[in-house]
Amino acid sequence: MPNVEYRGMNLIVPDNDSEWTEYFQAARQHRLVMRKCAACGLMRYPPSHACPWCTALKWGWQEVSGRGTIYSYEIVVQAIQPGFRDWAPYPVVLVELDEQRGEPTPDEGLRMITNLVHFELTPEREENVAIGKRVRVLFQDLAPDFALPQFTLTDEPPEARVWRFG
Amino acid sequence: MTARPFRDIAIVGVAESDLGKVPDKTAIQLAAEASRRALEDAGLRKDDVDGLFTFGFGRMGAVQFGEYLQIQPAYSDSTVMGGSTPVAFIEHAAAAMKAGLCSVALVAYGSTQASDTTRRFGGQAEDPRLPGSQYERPFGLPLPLGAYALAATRHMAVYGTTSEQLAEIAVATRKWAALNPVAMMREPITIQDVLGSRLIASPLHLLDCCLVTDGGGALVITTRARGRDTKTRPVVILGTAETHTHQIISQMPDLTVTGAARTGPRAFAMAGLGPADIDAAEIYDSFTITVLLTLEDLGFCKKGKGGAFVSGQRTAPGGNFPLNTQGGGLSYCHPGVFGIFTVIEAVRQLRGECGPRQVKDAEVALCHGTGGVLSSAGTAILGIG
Repeated sequence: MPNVEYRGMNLIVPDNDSEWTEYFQAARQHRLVMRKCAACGLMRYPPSHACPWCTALKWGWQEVSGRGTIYSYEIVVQAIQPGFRDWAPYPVVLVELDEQRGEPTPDEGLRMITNLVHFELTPEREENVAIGKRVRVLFQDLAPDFALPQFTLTDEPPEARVWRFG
Repeated sequence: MTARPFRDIAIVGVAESDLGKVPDKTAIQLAAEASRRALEDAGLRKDDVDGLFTFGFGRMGAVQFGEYLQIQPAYSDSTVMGGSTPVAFIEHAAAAMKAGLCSVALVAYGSTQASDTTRRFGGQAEDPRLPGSQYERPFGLPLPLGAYALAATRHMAVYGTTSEQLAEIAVATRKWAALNPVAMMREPITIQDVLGSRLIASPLHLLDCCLVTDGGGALVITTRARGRDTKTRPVVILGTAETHTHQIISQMPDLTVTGAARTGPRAFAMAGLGPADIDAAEIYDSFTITVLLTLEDLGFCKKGKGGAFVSGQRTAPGGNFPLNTQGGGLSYCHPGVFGIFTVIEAVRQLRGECGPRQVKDAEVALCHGTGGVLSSAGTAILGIG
């Protein structure tokens, strides 16, 4: 059972949980994967066993591009988790992946909570964080079978007007 | 749906426990204290209770509380859906009574989260094996506040809502608290005070956030026929609805639309009423953004127009939309699960017991609870019997 220590947290991935084990193993290979339903073809995140839309039990892992857009964000000034206090202020972003936007309903998409970081895994500066900015995944290796997917800004132009607080 | 299927069921007793910082009592003591007072308020006895609705005292909340009070109920419900749960319990209790399964329901809650300096109920640790622990906690999302901050940012970007508009809610709520002798925070504040308070996670400032206090509350619900024997004026149940939409914030379909968009229309349809019929609104204010989203979703204004709706101190005493008239979670008390205090205040307003903060001629009140990270919703519309 991978039992990864990160910022004072114990990130336990139980042996009997193939969803998490395989997801984080793929991340360690620097591949971002989603579960894709073999029946209806929709992907889902976080990984789950039955398709939440058509209930089919057959699925496969589908690698995605790891590119997306900032759907919302915040700058955490006062961290609650002790291990993050020396990191504050830091951005938490909700990234909407390019794949499957507006499906299966117009309000839905594949969205992930993540940090916005520089290539060397330091937090992105507040003035550079905005809704609508383009991002791509990078991986924070933490153990032989475990990496956290993080995101970083790209040079691509935003697809629409960006918005930032302040 | 039959019109007003619960019109023969009434809330006949409400009470708070001691509130604020209560270092010498446990959560279950506070719940018991509130229960005793609510039964006294109703003029009923503990042995009349045959339906028990509570959670938060270990994994089997109602079972634990039943032992503590020596109640062996005919109907037991330990549902946990966060802060909306007590409002949902009104619907659960009413449905059980309509089915003839119980006749006197006790709804209770207690927490010592201020003295514990933890947000967790009854010391239960978050399960490290749940999706939120694996897919969100590693990124330092401060919960629950951080999830609400994401919703606020999105609402600002999409609809142009401003920090000043969110602050209007905090300022108006503080004015109501000044009229409530048991409210924790009664000193007036200004919009500039809110904007000048420190950012916790953008865009939410300290004064956009609810208090963290100890406290408990209880409701006694019974059939209207039985309520004739009680001491107080019965407050009847006109409409109810509940739902939940997600557990973790990444799974919320649209960050600007809460479950209230589902519960509001259903509760109003059951009551045969609309937003214009509400004399007093008691809406869970864990954060200012919670209130703004809920007002829109319940239909008091159009989606995106919540900022304009609350502007100009419209929701303050003397405004034309009485909101959170006891001072809310922002200024009165917030031991978690504020849903129970929305009901207590709605009942007191409808009975006309509220003294200087009484809403004149209040005949219909709405309570709304929100749980988790905008995850669950419970609405109840109450009227005078």
